[in-house]
Amino acid sequence: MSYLPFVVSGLVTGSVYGLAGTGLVLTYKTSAVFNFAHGAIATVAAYLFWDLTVQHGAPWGLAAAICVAVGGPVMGLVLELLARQLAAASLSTKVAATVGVLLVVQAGTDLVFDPGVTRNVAQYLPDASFHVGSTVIRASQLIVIGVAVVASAALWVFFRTARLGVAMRAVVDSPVLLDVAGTSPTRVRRWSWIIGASFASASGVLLAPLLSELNSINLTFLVVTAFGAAAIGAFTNLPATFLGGLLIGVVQQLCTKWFTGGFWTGLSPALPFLVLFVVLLVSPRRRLVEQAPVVQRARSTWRMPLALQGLSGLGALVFLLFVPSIVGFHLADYTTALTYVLLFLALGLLVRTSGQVSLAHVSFMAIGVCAMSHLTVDHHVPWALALVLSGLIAVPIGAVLSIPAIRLSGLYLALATFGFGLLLQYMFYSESYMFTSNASGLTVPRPAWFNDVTHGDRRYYYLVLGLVVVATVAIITVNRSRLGRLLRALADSPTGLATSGTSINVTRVLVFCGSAFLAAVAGALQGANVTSVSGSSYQPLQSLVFFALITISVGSEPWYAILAAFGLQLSGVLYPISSLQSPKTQGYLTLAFGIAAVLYAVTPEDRRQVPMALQRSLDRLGFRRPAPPRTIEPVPMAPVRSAGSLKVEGLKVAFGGLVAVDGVTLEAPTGRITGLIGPNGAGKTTTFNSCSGLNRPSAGTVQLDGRSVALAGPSARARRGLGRTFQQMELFDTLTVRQNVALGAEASNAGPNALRHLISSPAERRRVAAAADQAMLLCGIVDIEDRVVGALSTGERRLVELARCLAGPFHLLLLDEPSSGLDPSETQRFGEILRRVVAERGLGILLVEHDMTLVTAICDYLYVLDFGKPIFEGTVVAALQSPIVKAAYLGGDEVEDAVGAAEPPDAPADTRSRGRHAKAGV
Amino acid sequence: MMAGPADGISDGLSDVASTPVLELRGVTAGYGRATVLRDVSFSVAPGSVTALLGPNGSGKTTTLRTVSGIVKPSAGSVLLGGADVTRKAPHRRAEKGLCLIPEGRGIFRSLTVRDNLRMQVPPWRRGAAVDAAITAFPVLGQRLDQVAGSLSGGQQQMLALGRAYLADPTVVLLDEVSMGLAPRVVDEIFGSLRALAATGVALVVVEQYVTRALELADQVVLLDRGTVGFCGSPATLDEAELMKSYLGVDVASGGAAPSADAGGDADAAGGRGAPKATRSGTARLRSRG
Repeated sequence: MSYLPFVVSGLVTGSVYGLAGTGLVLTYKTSAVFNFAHGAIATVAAYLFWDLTVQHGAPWGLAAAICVAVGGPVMGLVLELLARQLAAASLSTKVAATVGVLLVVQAGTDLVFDPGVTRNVAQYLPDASFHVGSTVIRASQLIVIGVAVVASAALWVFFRTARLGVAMRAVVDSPVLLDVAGTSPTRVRRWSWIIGASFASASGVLLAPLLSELNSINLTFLVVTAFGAAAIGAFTNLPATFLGGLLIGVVQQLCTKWFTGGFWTGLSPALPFLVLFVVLLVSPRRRLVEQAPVVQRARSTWRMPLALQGLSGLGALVFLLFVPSIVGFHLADYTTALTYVLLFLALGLLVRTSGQVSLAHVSFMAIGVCAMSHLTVDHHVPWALALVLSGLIAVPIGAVLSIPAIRLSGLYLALATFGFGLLLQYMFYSESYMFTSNASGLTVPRPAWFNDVTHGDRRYYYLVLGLVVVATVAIITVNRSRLGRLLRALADSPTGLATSGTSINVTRVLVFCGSAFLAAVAGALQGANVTSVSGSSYQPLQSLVFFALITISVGSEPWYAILAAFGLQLSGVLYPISSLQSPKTQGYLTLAFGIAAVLYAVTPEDRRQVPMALQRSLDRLGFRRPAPPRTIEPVPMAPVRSAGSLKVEGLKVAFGGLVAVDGVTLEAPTGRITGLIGPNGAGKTTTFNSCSGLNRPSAGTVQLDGRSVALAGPSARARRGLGRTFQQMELFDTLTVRQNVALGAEASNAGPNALRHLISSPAERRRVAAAADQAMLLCGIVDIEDRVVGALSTGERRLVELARCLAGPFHLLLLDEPSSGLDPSETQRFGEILRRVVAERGLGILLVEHDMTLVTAICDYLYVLDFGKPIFEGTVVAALQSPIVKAAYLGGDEVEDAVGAAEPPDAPADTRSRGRHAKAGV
Repeated sequence: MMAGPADGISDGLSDVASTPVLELRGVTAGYGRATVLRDVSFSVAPGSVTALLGPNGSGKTTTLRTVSGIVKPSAGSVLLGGADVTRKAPHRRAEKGLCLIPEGRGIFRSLTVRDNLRMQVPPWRRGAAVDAAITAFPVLGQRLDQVAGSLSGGQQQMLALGRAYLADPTVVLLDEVSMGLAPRVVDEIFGSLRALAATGVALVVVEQYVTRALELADQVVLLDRGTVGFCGSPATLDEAELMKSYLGVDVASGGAAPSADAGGDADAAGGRGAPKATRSGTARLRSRG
């Protein structure tokens, strides 16, 4: 019986988590906006409830009804309005917007309700108690469980039976279809936000009397526990989410019984986030698919002229050099701001350059500062060495965090990293090797010379400034080096980069490690600035704010980092200890920051850019002129290393129950253009994806130059000589034409080798440049080489993708619909280039193409697919005369009429056996 | 036109008011910076069947998406029954009698068949919804509580087509309803389209099986790179021209393969005789098999 009290109180909190989680999943699934501010709704409801009952003496029933049935729906409607604006936004924008809402609510609550006053809500529910064995069970506990169970069950029944409920499930499947079927998806979503927000409000009202005092941040984060419940429901299943909430609540309580001391005491609060992290890591990948890009890749990539940037940088540096003379006793705040510049450089490299997500960067700062303290104080490591080591200690942890980045994308990656940060906080912060459970915290010393009473702070400021300058130069250098190109390519198109030959998982691990290192150094430096730190200064909420800031901050590196750092420090969003503002001012600044984040998120992308007129005048000011066109001397094309071929035998690919490709056998040798044609849905692109390793065939083999490539990934196949273009072009949109084309060669050079991601020899660089030049010359795109690819026309983009393929060390190319979107003259030019490279370099090309003019003009041999099955192979002439091919294109069994009476008499019978593999060689 | 299911409708045309059920006036539309349709105009008479043809990328699907309101045109207007609906949301157009059966499978995969049928009708027509669909496609009646995603491809398409019966539309847009289906199922689907047309509903058919679409059609609109290349009755459509537009080669003269009997091909394939030949050919095949 000793378990019963724990189970009962676990069920109470668990049912509240479940209730909140259910509302969260409902709004997320129907609108595709994951509401990080879900807990903020609960906060508002709890404060409103307190205000109505305690301040205005309203009966609790009335107050609860107002909170849940009025407050919740009103907030839901406002959030729906926001979510609608965010429908097409990138993940980072959605996160920034909802974090903005969270900050608005938190700051607004603190402005309305002075946080200096203690508020608590007494248990308002009937509090009769009875005994089960020796355990006291209260009526209020049963009521909370009952309310949550009934509400969740009612929602489930509503989902199954009511038309609106079915429409909510339908809008998840396809909003467009629902719309054309006559039901407004907006109306459906509005209702789901109303219900979701009411559930969150109800959880706030139920939670309020369980807390010793109301606190806007704690309340918001209690509901974050619902994320774990949502993960158990795979962010989809409502009953599973509710049961997940119950399970987490009960196990949490049992943990407090089982672990009363030592390391495992942290398990109870960490459990929801352990669940979140682990579920995301082990779930089947296909269940967690997010389509929205992580970061909006700017289409117009105008940058301030370098001369002006250098001038501004110099100006900023001069200002920063004089700061100690100006700001007096605020100097420590400026030093902190400088350490944040390092942090935002680290986060910017990860988020803005390489398109990854981390909602755990405050954890790296914490790791850095702990390592610094322990190394210098406990182990007497020299200060400078300790600084480097504390950065290095974070590197393997960064590598751990990159594991979800390899498996997950978008929101699920964001949540996994967020869970990781919270897990770290609850499980490890109080350990002796981190902050210890000692409230006084850790001492982080400075070197003796910086401890001087009168000059110490000033000297330390200059030390940090020096390091920031070094790091800034390093980051700018990285961004201009091979690694920078690879990272931006990774953000623009991971598929394009992998099929060009880079092992993108190596790239991902590398960027997470680098970013972790820099963030940990920033943490260590900041710790030594304030000299004494505790775990409470490294709350996971900060990671959310960091992410929102790096998203809304403007400019290229390093400007966004500088703006974000000083913005953060001036607004004092995170640091009540900042001496710059009074609490009231700080509240208003946080509010303003939250509103700014929301406004930024709902501003259309094209209006966020520098106005054209200003761009032009800045260009003039910076003496920017278009570079004179280069003339490149053509060199004779070197023939491919060796003859070879791509061989596919008996390929079968199934998605779920649908067989997309069934029994395809083909061969594409070097020195020949082999066509692969067939109507829509015939399985051509699926076959291509099997060849380049982007899907897993259920049967059959793919051989490259006589050897099976079953075990090789896309990048390894590329390095063995298989190049690839895509129907939906996989270009690196933020890079220039030249950089795109050069990456065709450079990507294979980097390959799986981390060191070669970073360093390239001059000879290698020359070879890459020469290959890129020749490929651009061949494709006639030299005159646009400095333009950004995202701004080009379809025809130009097709040529860039082809040039990238031709610059690479490939002897076999897979070209997927290269002429779609080209006009006839462009198509003709395209065909001429292909014929030339095959004739002069001896490349082999396998071409999927709809434009039959192009196919008949350049292909030597054709394979025809229909319904995933091969229906014909032979020469172009034979294919054109084949009734089967015409049947495949024009349809049905009426084919003999379409081709006229010239067919042999047995043709109709032949055409009707469409699955038959007719071989017609000439 | 020769004898065929469409003829009865043609006769009926003169009786019905001449206001087209659907009209596009100078529609220009696309996605982002890419313009797909340029100045597309055509109209659909009540109860008629229009075959919207053209090779891949010519803008057929975009035309249907623009008509149904999923894509907003940058210029021009869309009229339903004479009323301008260019600025109306898709569900408002559905209220006015427009019904799109989209490309792929137009079903809610995670819902049961019954729930799909419920969602496919607008709220004001839920009464006899399920019954009407089951009458048209009896196989659905046996699977009402099955999740739609687990149906076979043909059954999924029938479920999608069910909406054309349930929603009481005046014009139905069909986007590649035969795609990826076995020929026998395609026969069945086309049979149901014929029956649907016979009830006086106007159809706009995008179809890869060109000859099947032509069988059904009173009017052909041939799109070529986003513009209307031909608009008229199937009888006046030069079939050699159609082949050229699709296969990119002059089939009549053998294209890349000049052949001795090319002239004969051209005579047989082109001209007014072709539709007749098509129909008789079908008959011949059916009788054999």
